[in-house]
Amino acid sequence: MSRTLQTRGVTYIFKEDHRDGTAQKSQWTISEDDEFRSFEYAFDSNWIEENVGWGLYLVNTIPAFLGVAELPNRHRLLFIAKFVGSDRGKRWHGYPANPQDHQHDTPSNDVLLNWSERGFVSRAKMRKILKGQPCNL
Amino acid sequence: MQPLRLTIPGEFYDSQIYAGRLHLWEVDHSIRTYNWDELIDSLAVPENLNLAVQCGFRRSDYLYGSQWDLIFQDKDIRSTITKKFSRLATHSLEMSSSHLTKALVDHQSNPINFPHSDSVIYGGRLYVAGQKGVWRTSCNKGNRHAISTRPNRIWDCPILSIAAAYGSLALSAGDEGLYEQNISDHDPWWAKDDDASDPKQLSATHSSSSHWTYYSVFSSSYKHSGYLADFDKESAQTADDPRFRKRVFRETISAEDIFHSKAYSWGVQDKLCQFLNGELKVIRYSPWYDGEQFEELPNLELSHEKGGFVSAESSTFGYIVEFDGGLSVVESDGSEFWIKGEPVSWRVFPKSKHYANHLHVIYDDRLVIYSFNSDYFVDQDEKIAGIKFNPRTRG
Repeated sequence: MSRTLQTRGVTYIFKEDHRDGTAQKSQWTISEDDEFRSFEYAFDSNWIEENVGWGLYLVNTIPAFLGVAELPNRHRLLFIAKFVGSDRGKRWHGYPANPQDHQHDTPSNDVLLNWSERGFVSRAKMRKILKGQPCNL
Repeated sequence: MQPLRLTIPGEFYDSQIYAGRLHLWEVDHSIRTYNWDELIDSLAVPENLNLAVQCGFRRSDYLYGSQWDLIFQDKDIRSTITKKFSRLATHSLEMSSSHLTKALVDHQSNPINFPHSDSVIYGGRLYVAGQKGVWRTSCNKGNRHAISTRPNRIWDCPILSIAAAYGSLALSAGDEGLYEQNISDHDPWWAKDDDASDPKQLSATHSSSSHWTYYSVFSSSYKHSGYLADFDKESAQTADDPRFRKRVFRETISAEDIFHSKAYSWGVQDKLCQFLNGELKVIRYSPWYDGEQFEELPNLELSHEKGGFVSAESSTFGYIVEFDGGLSVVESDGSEFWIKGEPVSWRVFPKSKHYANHLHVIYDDRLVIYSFNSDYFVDQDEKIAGIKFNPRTRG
């Protein structure tokens, strides 16, 4: 049974397969507490759009890596979190997003522009994310 | 020979240059369009460097072509022209705000979803691709706005890269594969079997970016080594055009079969490249040959590799490889030029008639237009790097 926490009127579920080394799944490298804080920050920053949300792991307001890609690219460091809502937005879970391999892991234009305007992501990184190019912090 | 450099201050995201106009996408969701010829004519440089200014920034085609062969064989003339480019390269060329204001054609709201992943101008029309699909709008000089404010969305599939030639768009759709969209008034090659107005899937295999290799399309990918959608041309004469030749799809050839190695690969016109262990493997592609279409050329070693590989392009003046720390340009005479710093974006115009020597590099506070001019003096059949200059394939 996955652990859950309540916040902002919704339930957040910690998915085990993104922490147990499952080959086909990207893996969190940050703690569950930090994963949860990333979700709350995304929620409070309006980076949630209907049933999809996007988050960052901010250390002193600077994005840091939060996970690694699925096999065979486990060496690739990831810094964007994707949150997915179900049950009409009442239940959420998240995983480290890998926009280089999966287009559906690319944050929306609005979220990327907000990150750029707030200085979290440079325009160079924004371009790389949008084009699915390798993007290091 | 050092490239020329021209700086335009501002906060930009993308640039296009076409038919004497420079279009700049700004981060505030607007587009500025400048009269490029007027901007270049306003540059304050000594009169004896005007040839270098005009060829460097306005007329890349001028010094190409067989009409200059005899003159360029004269070492004195060649040396004089080279010195002009070298002297101009020592000038710090920056557009002043007064000249920019004077040459401004339009400053308009961006009518298309922003930020986009790619753009291209072809046949007087601007095509913009991104997460929400592909838009088309006109950018003719006769319009009220430089970029028409009435764009049409021609497809709703998320697109990573776009390239135009032969009356078609090559569209890289990531996991959805590689597509071709007809943008001409003629029936495309797939009209017999499928709806001509729908995009045609060339391959279901992942495609990150694509370029035209003559009438074929090379698809690059960060998930595998890429592939060539190989086409032939067959006579299909009509009453209107007895010399008309139609593209016919042959097969998809994996980059691994072409290069015999696995790594990021790309191709433009006659050159297919692969970046492997700090070197460029290069193949000459001749689709019309009955014999061997792929000829292996000598590898090129890159000395400026700063950080991880990001992307690569080809132009007439050489190959451009982006790393985390900047751009490495391998020029057609074999020399290497390093451009330090992570760009917001960058672009070359290998199929352009007048701007094939341009490399546009956008940084947070400026656009720098580099102009590489050593290719005029290089034998196009024997050149070490870059695609072959061919006046017939310029748009």
